[in-house]
Amino acid sequence: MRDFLFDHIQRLSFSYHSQTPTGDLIERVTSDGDALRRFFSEEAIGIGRITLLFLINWLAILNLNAKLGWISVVVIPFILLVSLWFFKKTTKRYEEYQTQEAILSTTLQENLTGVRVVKAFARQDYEKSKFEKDNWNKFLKGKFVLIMNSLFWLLSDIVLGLQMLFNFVFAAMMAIRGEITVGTYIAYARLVVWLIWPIQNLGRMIVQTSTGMVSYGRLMEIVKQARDPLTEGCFQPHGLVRGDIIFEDVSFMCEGAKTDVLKNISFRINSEQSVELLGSTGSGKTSLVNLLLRFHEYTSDRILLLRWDRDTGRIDNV
Amino acid sequence: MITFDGINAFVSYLTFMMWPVQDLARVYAEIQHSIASAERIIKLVDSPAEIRNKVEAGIASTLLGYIEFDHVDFYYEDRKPVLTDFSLKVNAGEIIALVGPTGGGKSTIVNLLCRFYEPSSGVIRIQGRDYTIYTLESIHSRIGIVLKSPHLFSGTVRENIRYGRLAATDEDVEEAARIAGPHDFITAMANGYDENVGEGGNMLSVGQKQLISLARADLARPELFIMDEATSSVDTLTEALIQRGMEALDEKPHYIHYCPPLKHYPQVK
Repeated sequence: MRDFLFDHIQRLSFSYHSQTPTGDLIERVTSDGDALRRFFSEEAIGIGRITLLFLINWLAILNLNAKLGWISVVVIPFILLVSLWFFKKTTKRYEEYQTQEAILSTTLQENLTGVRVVKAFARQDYEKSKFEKDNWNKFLKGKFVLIMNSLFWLLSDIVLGLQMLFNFVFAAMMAIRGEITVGTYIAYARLVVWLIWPIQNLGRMIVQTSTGMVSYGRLMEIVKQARDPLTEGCFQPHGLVRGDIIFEDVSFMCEGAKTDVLKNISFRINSEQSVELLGSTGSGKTSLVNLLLRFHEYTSDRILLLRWDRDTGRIDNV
Repeated sequence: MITFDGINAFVSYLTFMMWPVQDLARVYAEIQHSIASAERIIKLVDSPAEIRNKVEAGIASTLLGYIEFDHVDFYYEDRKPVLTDFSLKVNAGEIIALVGPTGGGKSTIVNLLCRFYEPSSGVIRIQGRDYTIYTLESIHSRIGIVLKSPHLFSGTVRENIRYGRLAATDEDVEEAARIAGPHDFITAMANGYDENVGEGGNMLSVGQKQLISLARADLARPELFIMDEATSSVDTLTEALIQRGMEALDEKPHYIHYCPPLKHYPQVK
């Protein structure tokens, strides 16, 4: 999965990378990758195991005494409903937590890449307080997720504990009244532990699964991004190529910006001609070259390299 | 003889006795992981800062005055010399341009002067006193440095310029931008000073980033101004305007400018 993500990320477009903070990408690949791995290695397997445990023990109890079997599971539908409600809540909270963690990574990453600037202006204390603020926010968001978890555990432990107590008492009364034998009671007491315990864990698993789902969604956001179409197009010359470069009424706008960087640019460079681009700072010299290399896609009309435009030329060939 | 109740109790106790034993193996494995992680963290925390304040270091009240490199040698860890027996004296208010081939040690001189590194041998003096007697903070806070590959933080243009002096008002920020040159293109952008520069300033061209980092350094009102090819990606017209603006400043800092356009500078060493 990591290999795939690495390869995928390096093939994403320039505009995607300029809009996505590096810290966010790192966060998704590392932390979310781990959460997803945990989901498959622990939670997905755990849910299967728990369901199996529950069913087998329940069938065994039903086999002992059908009445006891039905009475033992009275609260379970309720627990399942509550855990679904918590699942929804935790999902939202955990998503916020992961987003905040990404912000924290971005802060760290920007501090490290700009460490010379930080040192040059002696801004270590300022950076520290910035980091502490982001980290504190992460702590608060994390605390909220934990509170949701502990609330749920508390609730399910109490309810299931009461159910267990009720089961023991009810079965004991039946034994005293002679409806079941003492041997049946002891077998039941052993089995019912393995009935309630899986359900207690199932609830936890369901809530934990929400973190796996959130991470899955966050990873899929990267995966869904379209790669640069490196190998689309049919024109693929071999050897030395010569020809004219023609810009026909080309405009270009950075993604997210409102104004054009380049507007209605037209020119022609003949084969073997050397051209120098002059212009004031920020006038679009670099953007023009980036367009030629197709690091960005232009927004109107076309650029002809030799005789081919973007619909026929392959990017890897450029 | 063991009773029926006894067997029942025995089985229960046995179960509860075995469970912690099983758990012990898991806990032990987790402890091993934690120890390994803790070692890595402690190693990072324990790594000494190579350049630190001396115990008796005092605060430099000013960097104005002459600055002197006295027979300075410098080599990085691989012991390959970068500077050997380098001497230079800069008087207050003087503009110095360092010129040399790529890899000639220009940046090293600036790194030494900013005390990002310290000389391997020889002394650097400020006002005749070895600069290691001052605290790093007091030196760094008086230096304005602009790099050829400028780094901006994500946030607005205004926040980036203000990084030079956190207490600066909006007017101060705009004034600095006027002197250093970026004011014109900033006001031409859709959101002006509140335009977001993107991560590392990605939404701007290199020349624009250079101008903003120049304004940032300018706002810090440094006593020593260092420009590391700071206007290499700025067009020559703007560059000339910036220089005129800088020279018109009332309180003149030292300038150390190392950059090819020599023709502007009266004195080249």
